[in-house]
Amino acid sequence: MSRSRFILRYRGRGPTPDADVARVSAVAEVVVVESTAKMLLVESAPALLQALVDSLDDWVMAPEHAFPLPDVRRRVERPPDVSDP
Amino acid sequence: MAKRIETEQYVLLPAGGLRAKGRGVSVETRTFLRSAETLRGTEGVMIDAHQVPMRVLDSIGPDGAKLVELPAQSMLAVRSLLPSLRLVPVRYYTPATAPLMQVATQAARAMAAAPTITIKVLAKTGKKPVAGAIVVALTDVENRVGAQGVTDSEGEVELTLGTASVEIQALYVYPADAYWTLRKKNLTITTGTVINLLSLDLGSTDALRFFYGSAELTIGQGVTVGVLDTGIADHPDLVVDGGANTVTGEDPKDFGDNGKGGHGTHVAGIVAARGEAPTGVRGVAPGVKLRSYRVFARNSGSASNFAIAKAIDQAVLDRCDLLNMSLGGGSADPVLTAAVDDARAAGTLCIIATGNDGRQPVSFPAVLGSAVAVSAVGRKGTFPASAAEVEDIASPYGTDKKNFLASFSNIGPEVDLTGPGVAIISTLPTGHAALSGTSMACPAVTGAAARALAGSTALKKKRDGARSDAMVKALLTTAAPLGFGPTFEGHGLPMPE
Repeated sequence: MSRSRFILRYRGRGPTPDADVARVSAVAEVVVVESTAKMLLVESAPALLQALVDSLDDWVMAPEHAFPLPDVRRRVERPPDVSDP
Repeated sequence: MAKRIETEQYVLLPAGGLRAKGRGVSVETRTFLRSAETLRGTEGVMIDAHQVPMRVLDSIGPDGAKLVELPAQSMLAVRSLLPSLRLVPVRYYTPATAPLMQVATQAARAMAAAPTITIKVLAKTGKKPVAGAIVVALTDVENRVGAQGVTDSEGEVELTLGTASVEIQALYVYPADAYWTLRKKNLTITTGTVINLLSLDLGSTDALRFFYGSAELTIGQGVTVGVLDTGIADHPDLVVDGGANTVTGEDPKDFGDNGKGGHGTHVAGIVAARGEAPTGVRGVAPGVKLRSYRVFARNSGSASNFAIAKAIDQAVLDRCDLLNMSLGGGSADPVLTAAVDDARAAGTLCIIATGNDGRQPVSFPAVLGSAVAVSAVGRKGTFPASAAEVEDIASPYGTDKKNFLASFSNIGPEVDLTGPGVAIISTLPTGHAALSGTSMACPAVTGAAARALAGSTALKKKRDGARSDAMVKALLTTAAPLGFGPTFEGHGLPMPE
């Protein structure tokens, strides 16, 4: 089963409820990589995690993804075709 | 015959979610949405004693979002009168089609054995070699065909262009620091060709100094600004109060420069540099308390949504008033959306760059209704005519024809403000450089916001959504349109006293 990284964020009042965190942590196929007052960074299969999040109140979930460093400089997209006569 | 007024449809909804329910929703938001529920079909709505030509067409329940129709020119007025609500244009989605794959493998294989050309980049004055400059030589500008490389300690760069002498349609040089960029069109290069760069004069009136002048060191005092970026380097022009590194697996105390070009250091200098020409530069609000939140990993050009959301949460806890986010792109995600919404509900404003995709729609997360989205303006005459930034000049031009909306800037109805973002001189880990982007416009607006808020009643309010709304109102009242139109500049350029 392939695992990817996801972020779970608690949208309720205050920090993440201990009981919810315990439920997530108790699932053997879910690895908690990092936790903060409002979020968990986890590794899991997406379907399994989605089902778990759906069973909890006030949580949202998103895949971890990266934002690139902004850059407006021109760049080369491909080299010249030297086979041209 | 009466002139027909063009109207457009929008969805009017709370800053977070679809309904005005729960924590962080102001009384003003709930009251307005409930009153609008009773106004379906009427031709106008009273908002804060102003008659607005807005028709309510549909609704998701009394506390829910409303589908409304109003003249496009009234959009800014509604957003200004109801800062706690989002006004999102109705969009229609079409199936996405996959782009055609580019096959370049064969050409790349042939290039490995092709002859190269070595050119040299020197300072125009003194003829000192310029090391670390990116040289981009395009033989076909439209299709971005060519070669690029970085100059070595002798100022030399080897370009694999297939022949020993070649016609270049456009040559660009981007120095690491200390010099202006360069663009040359239609030239022949061979080994031994020398390119000269003009030295950067820190006393130059760039677009930032043209619009905001040189601030007293006390300007912005009482305001705390967090910069979410690549970290802020130790620099004689900068004073960093503290911060955090929120990259998973890295030292949380390492919030200095991440070793990848100094983007965050440049951004920080635009907000709060405290130097003085000819050896340093001055930011828009040098009196602010400046904090660094490093979200880009060490020696990396990418930042995860987790690191960014975590930095926002931490900056709110650290009682930052304004967060500068010169980053974005890609698809929206609910976690980062929640973090920006939560910050706004906790009295902290996220000021976010619209993106540099060339007149494309405003990027995520700047597109969020809870964010302040910033496009980029430039001004002719504030950089050399030989600089690469000449290609950023494009219509529309302002009422003052020297002002232009930068060609790279993303635009749309979500733009709140514009700021100077073309060839802006600021701090880098190795010195100073002129850089361009909505990344540079964003901190200019953050600095202007700090100027507007320093000593204001908005800043003294309890830290909640109403405080954020008051800060937005205080900021927007200082904005003056430059003449581009709301899609390009929102309310215009903030020009606080």
